[in-house]
Amino acid sequence: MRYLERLAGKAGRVTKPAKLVAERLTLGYEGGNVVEDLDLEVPAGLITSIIGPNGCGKSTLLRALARLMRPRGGSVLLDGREIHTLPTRDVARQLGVLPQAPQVPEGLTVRELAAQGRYPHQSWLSQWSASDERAVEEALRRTGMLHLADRPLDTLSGGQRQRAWISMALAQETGTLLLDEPTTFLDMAHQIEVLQLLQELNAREGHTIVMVLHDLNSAVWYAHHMVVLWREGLYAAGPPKEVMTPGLLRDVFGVEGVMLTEPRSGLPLCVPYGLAKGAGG
Amino acid sequence: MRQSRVLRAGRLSLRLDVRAVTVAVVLGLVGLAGIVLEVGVGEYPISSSGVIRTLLGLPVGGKDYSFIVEVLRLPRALVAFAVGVGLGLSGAILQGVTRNPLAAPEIVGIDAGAGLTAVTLLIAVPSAPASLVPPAAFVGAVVVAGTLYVLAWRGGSSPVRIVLIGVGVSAVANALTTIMITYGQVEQASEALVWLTGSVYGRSWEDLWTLLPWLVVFGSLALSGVRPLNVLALGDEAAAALGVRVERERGLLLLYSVALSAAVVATAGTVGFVGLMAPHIARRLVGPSQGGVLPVAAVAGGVLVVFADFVGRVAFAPLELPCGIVTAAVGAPFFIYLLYGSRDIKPQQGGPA
Repeated sequence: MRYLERLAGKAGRVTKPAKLVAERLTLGYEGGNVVEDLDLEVPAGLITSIIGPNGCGKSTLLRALARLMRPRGGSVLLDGREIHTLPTRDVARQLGVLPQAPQVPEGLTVRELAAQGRYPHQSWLSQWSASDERAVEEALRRTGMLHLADRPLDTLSGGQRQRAWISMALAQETGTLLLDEPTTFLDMAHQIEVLQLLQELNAREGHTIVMVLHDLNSAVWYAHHMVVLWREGLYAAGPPKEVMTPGLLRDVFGVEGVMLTEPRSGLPLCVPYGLAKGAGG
Repeated sequence: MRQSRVLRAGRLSLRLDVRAVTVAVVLGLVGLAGIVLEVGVGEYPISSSGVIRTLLGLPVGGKDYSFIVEVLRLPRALVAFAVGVGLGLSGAILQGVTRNPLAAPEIVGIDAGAGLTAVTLLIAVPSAPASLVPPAAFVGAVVVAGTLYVLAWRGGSSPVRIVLIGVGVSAVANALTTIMITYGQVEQASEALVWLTGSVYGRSWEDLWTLLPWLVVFGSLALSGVRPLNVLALGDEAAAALGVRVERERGLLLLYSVALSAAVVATAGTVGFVGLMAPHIARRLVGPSQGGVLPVAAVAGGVLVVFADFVGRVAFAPLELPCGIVTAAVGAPFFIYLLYGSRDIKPQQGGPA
């Protein structure tokens, strides 16, 4: 992973993200296993995107990395310690998570939501310290939400709402952010708004970011590292330029297509033509 | 946060929601006024100034109202307020934990469970002393709540399952209660029906002293659980990601809610719809933050029951309506209004931004 070290050197180093590793990870639900014997290392200080077809276990993997589900086998290690043996609160100080369909109580304002991010830092006797207040203001400023801070979330656009959730995760002051499809339901401009924000955070402060994405081109353009899952587990992991091949489209998604080179960035641009022969359904 | 004051001293920092405190104080004064009005009415009416003077120990134009006020009427009014406080808190916790604005102790079957055991006792064992009814009701409420939690557990509890199974459990318990009443002797059956409506008629200081410790203990525990309750509102996954031990906190909060409503039902029977309405009033007044909702819902509940009892005594005097009928008369339309209004609840995800 030499290229990762090189990239991480470039990224800002404000935060000290924890090291997140999956070892022989087996995950499943009542119906059976979704992920089996998966080994994965999340590069610290970089953006990782996870892609794959529906039902391949992308979100499941993210939930396991976030300690939101218990593995059937293997383990997730946070700085070398098994994540399930760590207290919930300690994990919450190191990993910020944006679930796929978070709920918002009616009338809750952006600032009130962001303030919830301080939960793992508070106690009954320390309900709202000066550092809590600073962290929330700072989080709102970095996500550009200060001017909307007192608006209820249900009056905001999808992109603004997603930024509000990100400000909550930032107020949590964790070095690592895990996001499950942060751009779903957003139109193109709002998708870019959210992804650029994450990119800026990573570049300025060196957050480790792991996000599950559906759009392959976003996954290429906004990540340093890509993890591709398919029904048989891990298909490939590496820099987007190397991972994205026509073979991947066929094997993983059952789609025939080409990879062009986007002239400005030199990054691969995926153009699907149609379903691959023998694929479909 | 909306006009909050923070008290900091060293590592200690407490946050007070100014608006919630103001609203709670104002509502408290309204409640006090209600108690004075309530104490004044009856076969022997006493003017408000007479009530206040008697309560303060001042002479009232040579008359002595102290027996009527302090022995007969004051405890009843205070029990009414306490009953409302318990129901308001219980409902607020339940609506918070289940993330469902339609949840309330009577809707998930806690009241129905209490009703079933109380009525069974009244009808099956007519010789049992009346003092056994409250403990029986309490046991019924707790047993039903426990059954509900076990049935709703499937590798973890789920707010939606708790509410849905609660509705079912409630229906079963109510049906069994109806069977008991149908087969009971007329006298016992009518006694049971009065108990089921919920009333604070004839409640004494003793009833108040029995109820109060429950309110104090579980009320303070509930107020100390405000922070996890706020975080649970964001959904189980978000709460877990923020460091909340979801099942533990949810279980504890449910326990507080059940204990509060069980203690209330044991004292006054099933006074319906207060646990449903009070949290809505509170949220309307102070917003969704639980630190404000819980105390305000408690006081609002107290005000509701005191005025319900007052109206019940005045409206058709000398005939007296149990306060449970008055709260139902107001609460049932309110429930329909909530259901009607919920058509407008927008999905939180998706849809055009």
